[in-house]
Amino acid sequence: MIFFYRPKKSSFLSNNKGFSIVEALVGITIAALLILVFTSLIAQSIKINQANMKGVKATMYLQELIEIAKDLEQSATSTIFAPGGYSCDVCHPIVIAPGVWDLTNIPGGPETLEDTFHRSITIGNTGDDNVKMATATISWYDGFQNQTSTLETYLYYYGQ
Amino acid sequence: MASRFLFKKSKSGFTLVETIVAIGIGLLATTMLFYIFTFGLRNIQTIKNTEKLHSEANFLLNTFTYWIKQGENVTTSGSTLEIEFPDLPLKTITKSVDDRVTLDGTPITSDDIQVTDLNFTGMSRSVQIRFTIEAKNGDENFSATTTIAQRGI
Repeated sequence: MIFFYRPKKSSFLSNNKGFSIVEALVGITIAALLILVFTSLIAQSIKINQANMKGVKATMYLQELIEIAKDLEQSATSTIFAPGGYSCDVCHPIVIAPGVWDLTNIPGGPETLEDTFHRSITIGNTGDDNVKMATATISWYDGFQNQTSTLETYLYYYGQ
Repeated sequence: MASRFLFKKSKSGFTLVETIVAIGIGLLATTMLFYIFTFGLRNIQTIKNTEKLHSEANFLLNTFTYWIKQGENVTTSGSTLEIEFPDLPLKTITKSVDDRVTLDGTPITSDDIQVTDLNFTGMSRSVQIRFTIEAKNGDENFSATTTIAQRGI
């Protein structure tokens, strides 16, 4: 008889007590918080991913300016290293003829790409007439803050 | 009679109303969790695809840069770039029919990436490159336009 005895009060399944409103509210709040944290983490990771993508593109656009300057160093020697000095302040590259790069001054400020990236290049004089300094700058908003990146290189006159 | 049946208090089980409410809440919770985890998994896949596209784009550009900088002369024709070297055989970079970038016929992009656009434009002493790559198992894509100058003569 003792073997089949089961105290009614201590059994979980036969307990008639439910959750109180406070317990239910606490449970729902914890669940909601967990869901909120999970979704906000995912949203944040997407935002970081997009910021990273913009950084990769910005590096490409910035490097392109230096590469174009290196093209002009070889193809527009007479212009870049003209007697009397050549300089271009806050300029951007344009194709003036098939296969021909040129730099033009931007009255309205840096060139805008994809409505996001603002880039410009400056060709400045150094103490040596056969050496110019090219400074490329790009700025963009990556979703968190404004970013700016700069690259510098020297352009050399190798002779005709 | 019906109301007695529906709302009858019993110590041995749940009433019909309690069961229906519990099932309703359970279904709602399951749907919400399913949606949240599906959303999470989809976005994790998006992030993985985007990272893959970045590394592919960087690898492509590094490869183009490596060969163009060494080249003596370059010839461009749409999606084909031919590079002549003083001491090496001609190198050909092109887009294959299965949308991959090939170097002398050997694919240099992964098989889970497709190149939807590749265009080379020859400039005086540089090559302008425009390309778009896409993940095959997603909607993500990456497009860029850049220029690589040849090394000084």
